[in-house]
Amino acid sequence: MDFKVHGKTTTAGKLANLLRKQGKNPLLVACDVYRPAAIKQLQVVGGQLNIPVFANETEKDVVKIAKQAKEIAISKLNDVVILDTAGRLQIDEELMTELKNVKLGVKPHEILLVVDSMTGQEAVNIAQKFNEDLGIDGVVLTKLDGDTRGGAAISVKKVTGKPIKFAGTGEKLNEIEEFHPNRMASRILGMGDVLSIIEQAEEQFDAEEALKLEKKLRKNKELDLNDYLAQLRQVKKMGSFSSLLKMIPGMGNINLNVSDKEFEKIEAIICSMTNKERENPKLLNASRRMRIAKGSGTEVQDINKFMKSFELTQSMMKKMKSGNLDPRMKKMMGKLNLDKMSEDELNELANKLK
Amino acid sequence: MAFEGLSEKLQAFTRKLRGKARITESDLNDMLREVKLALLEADVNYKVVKEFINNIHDKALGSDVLKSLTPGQQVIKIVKDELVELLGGTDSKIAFTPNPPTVIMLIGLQGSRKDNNSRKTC
Ligand SMILES: Nc1nc2c(ncn2[C@@H]2O[C@H](COP(=O)(O)OP(=O)(O)O)[C@@H](O)[C@H]2O)c(=O)[nH]1
Ligand SMILES: [Mg+2]
Repeated sequence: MDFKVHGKTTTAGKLANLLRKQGKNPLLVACDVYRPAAIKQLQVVGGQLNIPVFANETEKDVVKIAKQAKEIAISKLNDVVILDTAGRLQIDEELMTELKNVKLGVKPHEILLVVDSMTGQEAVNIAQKFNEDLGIDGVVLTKLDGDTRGGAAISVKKVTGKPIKFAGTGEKLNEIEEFHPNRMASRILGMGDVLSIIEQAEEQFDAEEALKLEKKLRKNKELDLNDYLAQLRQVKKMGSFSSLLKMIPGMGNINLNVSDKEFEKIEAIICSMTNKERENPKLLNASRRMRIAKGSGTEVQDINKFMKSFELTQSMMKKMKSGNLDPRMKKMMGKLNLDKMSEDELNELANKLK
Repeated sequence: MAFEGLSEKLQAFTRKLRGKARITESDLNDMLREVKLALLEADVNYKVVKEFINNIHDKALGSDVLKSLTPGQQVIKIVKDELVELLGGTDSKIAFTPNPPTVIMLIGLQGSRKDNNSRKTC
């Protein structure tokens, strides 16, 4: 079998570079303890980008290295830590065990698999295997600049359930892009005039919906769960930022980004409510929540957590609308992912908003 | 150029469709057969292809898309929506923690290529 070079180390550098452009202060970490050359390579990449690289050549325990790196990041105020782990020629138990140990030991927020799109279905198989054995959060597809036929890009999400988050588009360290399914589809279909007609039709539909919502908010009514569900569906349809929200002055900053799984859960929860409850969420006492949990196949804690994040969105909207929101807060909100936050974090944010 | 073959064929498909004021089921089936071949040639997973084609077929016949579009445009819209879905639907971003640092772990296999430091860079 012909093994390709997938591009992990290069991607580590590219990702650090991209995130720095987005205002982050990344630290690269060499976790490939088996090959001194791999450490050197990451140092060269870091040097070219002027991004710090942490390596500990005398330590062979990858978990320890990762933990040390985290400490250093905290002391040097690096808000992102990128671990370049060791690869092997093929998936074997030793590799998996090491990766699992790192996962358990440092609890990474994101595990991204780097695969070469040129390998086609092989890339999809690798992703499936890593996802089953270790669990991944997303895929970085490299060499999308090459003459890949596209099979990997088109199959990976459906087969593994895990999205492509970034695409490598060249050898240079700035050649990485966030992966936008919508734009990619347009590119494949040759974004002609027809697609723009379609987009206009969609925009018109959005504009009508936006108007309805805006009218409602003007009347000083609060966002209810029907609106929320409509928003979420819109977000799912249009992409991670709601074009609908963007059309309402001051509302463009709210991020309603949820995973597909989370979306289905929320949809089930809201759909298990009566219309009265959706219009007036204050009705949702403990016994109603219990009923809704049963109806939606979720737990009462899920309902509680969801309601908390909903109330938060409600109060954010109110503040946004009255225009009396701290600009720092506003900036932060655009980046928040309410549904990935723990209850404590939600409570903390709610307090800040008061 | 990535996606070249697939892109060409899908574009030929949309060109055929765009002007159509009427699309019969057999028109649709003929065209979908070509799309299917194009996807398989592009090394898309077989099951994925099958589901994709079925979805387009069903949605195109049960068309409840935007009223202001012609039938041809409607099918193109369906194809595009389904393609977006396949590619992941919505944008997937990194979930940064509110308590930094956000730890991102890159994993993967490794090439058989020997490490060489004379590799091309920017
Ligand atoms: N054309 C192209 N080359 C890439 C891309 N990503 C990585 N490479 C090249 O792949 C080679 C190996 O990369 P490396 O990061 O060492 O791979 P690793 O062994 O997986 O860590 C380098 O020569 C990179 O320039 C990409 O998106 N496009
Ligand atoms: Mg490497």
